[in-house]
Amino acid sequence: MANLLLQDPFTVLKEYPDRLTQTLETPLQTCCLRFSHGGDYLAMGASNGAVVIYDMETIKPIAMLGNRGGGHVRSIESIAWSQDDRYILTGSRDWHVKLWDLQNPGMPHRSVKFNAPIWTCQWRGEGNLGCFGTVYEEPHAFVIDFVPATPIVEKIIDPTEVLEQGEHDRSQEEDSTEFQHQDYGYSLVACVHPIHKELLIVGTSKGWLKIYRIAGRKTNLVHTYRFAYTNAKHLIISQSGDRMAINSSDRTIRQYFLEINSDLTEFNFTLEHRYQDVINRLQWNSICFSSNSAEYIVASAHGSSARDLYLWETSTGSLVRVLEGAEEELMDIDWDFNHMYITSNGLETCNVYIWSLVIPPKWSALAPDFEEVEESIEYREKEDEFDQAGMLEQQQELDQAEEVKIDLRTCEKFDVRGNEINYNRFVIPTDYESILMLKYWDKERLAGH
Amino acid sequence: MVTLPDWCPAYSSRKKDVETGEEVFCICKKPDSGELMVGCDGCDDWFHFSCLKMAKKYNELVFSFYCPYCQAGITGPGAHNDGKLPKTLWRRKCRVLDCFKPIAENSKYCSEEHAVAFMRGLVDRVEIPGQDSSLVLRQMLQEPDFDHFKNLGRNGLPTPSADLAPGLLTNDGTLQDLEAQLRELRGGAKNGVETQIEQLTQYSQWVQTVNDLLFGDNTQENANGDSAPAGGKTSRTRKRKQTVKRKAICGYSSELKAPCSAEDFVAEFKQLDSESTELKGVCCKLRCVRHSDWLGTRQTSLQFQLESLQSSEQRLPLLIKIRQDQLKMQLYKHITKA
Repeated sequence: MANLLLQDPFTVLKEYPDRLTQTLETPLQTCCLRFSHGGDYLAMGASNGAVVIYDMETIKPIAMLGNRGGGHVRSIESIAWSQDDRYILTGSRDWHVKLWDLQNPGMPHRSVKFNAPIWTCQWRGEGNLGCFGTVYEEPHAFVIDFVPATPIVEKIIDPTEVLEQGEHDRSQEEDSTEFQHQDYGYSLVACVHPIHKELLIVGTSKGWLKIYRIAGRKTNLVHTYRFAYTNAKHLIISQSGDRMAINSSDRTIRQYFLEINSDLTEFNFTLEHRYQDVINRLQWNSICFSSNSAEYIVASAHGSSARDLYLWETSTGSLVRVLEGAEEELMDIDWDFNHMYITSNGLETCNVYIWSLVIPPKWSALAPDFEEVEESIEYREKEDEFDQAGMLEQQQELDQAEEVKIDLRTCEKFDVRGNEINYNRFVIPTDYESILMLKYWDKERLAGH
Repeated sequence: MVTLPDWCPAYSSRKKDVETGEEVFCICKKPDSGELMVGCDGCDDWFHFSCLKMAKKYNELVFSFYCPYCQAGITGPGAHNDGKLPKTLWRRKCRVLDCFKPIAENSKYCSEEHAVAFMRGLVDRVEIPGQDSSLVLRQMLQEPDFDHFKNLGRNGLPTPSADLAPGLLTNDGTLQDLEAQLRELRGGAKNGVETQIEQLTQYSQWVQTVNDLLFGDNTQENANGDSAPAGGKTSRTRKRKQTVKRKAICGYSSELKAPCSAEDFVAEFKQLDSESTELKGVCCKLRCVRHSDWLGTRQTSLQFQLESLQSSEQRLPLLIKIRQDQLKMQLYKHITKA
């Protein structure tokens, strides 16, 4: 990656991508995509269950999850990278959630089967191999502990809710008034609060948000909030944890300001903006926030007439940019803040589109006295320009400049855009075995001719 | 189109020096000074070795020489429209590194002395600590007849004897790992998957029977003309498509085993109230979205497993061979001086 400090700051510090710069034509029918946290890799899940990882430096595939067996066999619904980018979670319509260790991507590290297709899967937090998942037609989300060889799956359920559930089944016939229990519907989406990692926010099919607090083996439903009377399709929270957006089936994206008091007992949702397509009343396919406090939100629209990504400023709620270039409906979205890439996959061709910044080369950045000229000009030496007189002073100045110790070894903690970069990134090992096999097959093929 | 090399001046047909009238040769257009020259087979002119940037030591290796002009088609056979441009041909050189004599007939060497010298050089490069290298070499050529010698190395690298490198192939971790994987694979992993497929087929047939018993008349009405289903999975899916609204219970159970005979199940099912969705662990919903395609998913998954096991079965022996060759090569390189 080019040294961003040397580039034109006005371009580098733009807060969202400019234009379509790359189209990846893969043989797969990509339906789900996710950047690694460092932005070095892009994982793409396909409708046949394949998951391929692209290296973003070379824009070439470098690993295929499950090429030694044990891959998914139905379309991938959800992909999640672990915080250190070493592990990947995949949830699929084939009822499995699989955990992959990229040290050995040929076989799944762990696998767990549910009794219905998977909606979403998500990491629980840093360090441990814990995961949350939501499953088709299940009233509760699940927590999966992947540490033991046979993963432990538990329902995320408040002790008081168990009663409710029994009551609820009977209430259909008897209409029991003894408990005015609420039917929240099926749990569809789940999201861990990025700051308070013990909080899990679940969005349901009846428009409820349920906030669980999970501490050790204790699970408490600490808050519920009804945002609408419809399905929750996506639920995202900004990195800073105070902005939340819900994409729901009523063709609306609701953006909330989220306030939580320090002992995690009081929750306050303030509806900031609602994003709707007022003319065509389109559904939103997917949504994504920008980094940190989420100054921007980007969404893809449903329908063959919609071919762009829409980007709004979250503070004012106004549309600031339409990312054009793709010639088809766009589905999933992900945003890599390190390289300032936004990626999305097309519905028809299943190509993967990448929008990013185009930084023009700026030579004057290399030395402050470099000057860029449009045409060649004849240089006229100034009267005292190369005089010997000032040489001594100049030399002293240079010596002084050299006195300053330059630290070349300590890594910067943040890049110019304010993303944390000083952490150990996992590097996917080169699969030498496959290269050997390819070479062998090539030789065989040549010998055959 | 071959162009002239950039050090070669453009062609000139001049044969005599303008001033002295002496005959001139080569691209340099100078008279013969006794320096080594070579005659071109295309234009019959003579050329200095040094002018053509050819080392003089290659003198004896020239088989048929063509000057740059002939090679570019300006003079010689290439100039007469037959199109084919001539090229200089060389004789094969003796295998001894600094000998530039051409090889003798049916040999790779210029003379018998050099053949012996070359082989001696090879033998001298072998250096095995604590052992007589010539003895070891002799041992490697166990059957010292000529045909055997000629074929040495043609079928992969020869395996070194046990006392030369004890445990070379048996003590290698990677190799042991691969071999263990292969043993495990051949030990019946495939059978396991095949049994599972068998079980699944049996269960799907049971579900089919139950559905036929429950809604049998329904099917016959809708699917008239459809050939009798053999109970296979393909006929089942095909039938599904033709009779879109065919009534059938989902039939998914986590065990994938028939809980009782189809007749008993049907009898119990008919006594069930309409609200129930499960009987003996079997999902009885009529149009079950939740478990839709449970059979197909499971079948594909097992099929995939079988395929990947088969490809591993092909891959592993190959990897083992590659690793073995690698180890042997390392050993041979180790005992040979550069």
